[in-house]
Amino acid sequence: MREYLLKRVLLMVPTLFLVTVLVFLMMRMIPGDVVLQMLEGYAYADSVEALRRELGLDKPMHIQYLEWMSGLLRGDLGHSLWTKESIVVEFARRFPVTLELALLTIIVSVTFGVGVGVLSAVRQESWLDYAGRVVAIMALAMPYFWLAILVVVLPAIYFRWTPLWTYVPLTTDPVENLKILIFPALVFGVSRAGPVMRVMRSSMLEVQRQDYIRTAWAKGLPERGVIFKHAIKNALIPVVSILGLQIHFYLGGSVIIESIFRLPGIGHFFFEALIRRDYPVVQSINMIVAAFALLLNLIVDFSYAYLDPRIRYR
Amino acid sequence: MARRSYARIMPVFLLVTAVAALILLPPMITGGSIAFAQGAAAGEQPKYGGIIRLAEREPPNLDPHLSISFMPQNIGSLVYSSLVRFPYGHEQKSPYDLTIMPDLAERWEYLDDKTVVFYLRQGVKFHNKPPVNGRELKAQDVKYSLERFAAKSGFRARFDDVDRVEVVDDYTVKVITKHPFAPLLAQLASPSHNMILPKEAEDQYGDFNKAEAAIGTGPFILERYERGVKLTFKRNPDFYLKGLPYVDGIEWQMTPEASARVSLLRTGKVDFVHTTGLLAGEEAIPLQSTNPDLKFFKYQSLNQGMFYMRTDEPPFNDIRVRRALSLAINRQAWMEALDYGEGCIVTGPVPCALPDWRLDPKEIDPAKAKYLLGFDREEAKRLLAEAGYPKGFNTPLFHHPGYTTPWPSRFELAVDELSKVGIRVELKPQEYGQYISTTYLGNFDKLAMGPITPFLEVDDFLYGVFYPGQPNNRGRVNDPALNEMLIAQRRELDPEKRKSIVDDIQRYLADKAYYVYIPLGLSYHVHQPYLKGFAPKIGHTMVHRVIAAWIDK
Repeated sequence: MREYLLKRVLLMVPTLFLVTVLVFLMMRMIPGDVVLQMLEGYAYADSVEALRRELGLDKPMHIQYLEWMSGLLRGDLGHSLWTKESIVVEFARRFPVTLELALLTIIVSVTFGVGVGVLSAVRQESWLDYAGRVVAIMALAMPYFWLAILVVVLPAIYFRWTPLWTYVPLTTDPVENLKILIFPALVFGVSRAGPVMRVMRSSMLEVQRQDYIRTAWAKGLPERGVIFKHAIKNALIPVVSILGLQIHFYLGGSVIIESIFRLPGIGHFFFEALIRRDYPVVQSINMIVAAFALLLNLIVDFSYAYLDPRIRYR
Repeated sequence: MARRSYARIMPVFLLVTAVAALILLPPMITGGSIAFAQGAAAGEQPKYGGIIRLAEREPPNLDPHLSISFMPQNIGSLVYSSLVRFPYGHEQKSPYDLTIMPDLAERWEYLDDKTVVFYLRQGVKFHNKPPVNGRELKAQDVKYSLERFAAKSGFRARFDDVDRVEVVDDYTVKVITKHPFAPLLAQLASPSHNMILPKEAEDQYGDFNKAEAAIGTGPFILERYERGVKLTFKRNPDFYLKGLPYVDGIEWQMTPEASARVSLLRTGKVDFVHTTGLLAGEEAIPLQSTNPDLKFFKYQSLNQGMFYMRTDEPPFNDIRVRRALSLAINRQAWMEALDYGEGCIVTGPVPCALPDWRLDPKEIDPAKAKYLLGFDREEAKRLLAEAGYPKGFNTPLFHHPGYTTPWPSRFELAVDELSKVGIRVELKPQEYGQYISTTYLGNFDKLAMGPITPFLEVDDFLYGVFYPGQPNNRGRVNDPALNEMLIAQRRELDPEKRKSIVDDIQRYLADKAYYVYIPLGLSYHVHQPYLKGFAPKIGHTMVHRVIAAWIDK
């Protein structure tokens, strides 16, 4: 197990290196020049060149890359070209918001998806099963950003109420903070619950046909014991895989949710930086999110060993 | 000619100054708000207290010289002051009133046609924030600020004709121009450009981007900036116009999504949306039925939208092709379909919201005016055939599809209407970052379309857009006869003579179709009913709208 862990950690290094190169190059390949955008129509030649020098964008690309990497290795992510704010400071301020949203979203999607999936499988071919499957298809079909707009706009029109509040950090007022985040988490989580529910249902149906489940029924164990003690744990393995694959979406998909619900997270910050061609911000945040996604996938992989004792890593 | 102009305008300036002194001095001495309450409706007495709340996007930064975005300008208008200003909401005759009024300069005079002396108010204090700590504003601050603007700002083209700024004494500053420069006072009054800043804040913080560095002499102090959440302003207790503002503060809530902003307005969580309080017709008209308690006022805001073409390359270097494009647009139908039949049909070259400068197309020779407001498909086809395109031609249309409604519909209408005369358009949507740094700067192939940044000085719509080498000259126009007139209006200090030249320019441009202007609808100024004195005004100048506003609930 230790060897496996070391191997996986070491593999992260070339992966992250590749990410740095890709992100660096792709940003510079996108049409549109950050210097011209900052001057937006008043691009005098000397001013353009002066600003380019000031921002360090006049240097050869490989020098810019090495300077960025050297800062990255020292933990210095640089400063925003537009606001001059430290990216580390901005990230530290905004990432907890996105992380909290992602965790709440996972809780909602797992709770909803697993719950409906289990119910659907256990009561197969009943009206509960059909209702659950319809709900899952709807959750899959509805774009979450469309749902988010409806949740914000429709109550405002008909009930003069909308789930938008000025953000308060968790450490300042946990109750207010949860009130602010629960609606975006519900919207985002319900839309992500669709695939979870369908996978859970299929997995449960398969597990219920296994010999050890038949044995449990034959021994006269109550239904609750058979389902919760024996079936669910084994049925969860594919669900964990799904969650692992969707982690990047929980983090990256927060862009639109944060914009609609006006949450000061990393998603919206990244999106604005992308539009403005704020190279250091986009590059650094991409790196951090990539590293985080790799780490979370590692945790997901190791959770398999917990769920299925037969799995051992070498 | 310039000296005779100077001799004629001096008495006018002295008269304006005297009248301004008679109006302003008594409240300054007595500290009364009564004079400023003259802007309130009959029977309404302004009340002190309360916080104004608005929903708007987040500004890219706060330094008024390091961004040309309208949001730092609006923030700057709350925090900083200028030498001169436009009338505040309670002083103005209409939202279009751009009379030059004293601000930090209590009076000014032209010594000659290239030298203006500004006499500063005494006792005006900067906000009491370190490192400035509430010290008095002096002439050196004006010199520093104007020179910083001329050195750093993306708008500094507007100061090309300013030669230098000199400090005469602590309360007197002289601005010397290279030539007589008519737009000078309007540029000094515009919050886009010439806010007066304290040098020690830049020395300490490097620039004016941080909330701690936003130190001015304006009616509001930037108290706190929670990035991504809100900006909080509080009333400046030492503001030199005693009695103002009425409210205790302003809360600018960052709200990136447009529908979310309107929802906040519907539910009473904010008092108005956007720095202007404006909504497009498509957003405001449904609100009138669902929220009839809100206050609505519609007017023509300072907007301009156009087709812009590469007039230096085929096919649009041929005047017949440009005229054909103009005649292909059914402007009245666009207004009916997109703007509820109300608005301005001919929005250029001088926008409808500058009525003091705009020449009514009815006063232009109809044979020329038809290219501004006419619609004639057959004539358009005939012109194209004459230009060598009997079967029409293909052209891309570069644009940004993310502009607010009804811009997306305008692009689609353009494709449809132009195809009917043989101009086959292929839409080329561009993401904003790409659009604003390429197409918007004039780097595009053949044809583009979109809204244009509005300004408050007619020179920006003429010289800025038509003179060769100017960054806003997206169409690469170069017309020697026009160039002479553009220079002449900039150097004519007599307002009446200048107006005459500007009229001539509009007559000259009527049939040139260097840009084809499209009709724009009215904007709706919408706010909560308890927000009184919140005045509509053209331009990106939030202070004018809120300085005499009060909350009555």
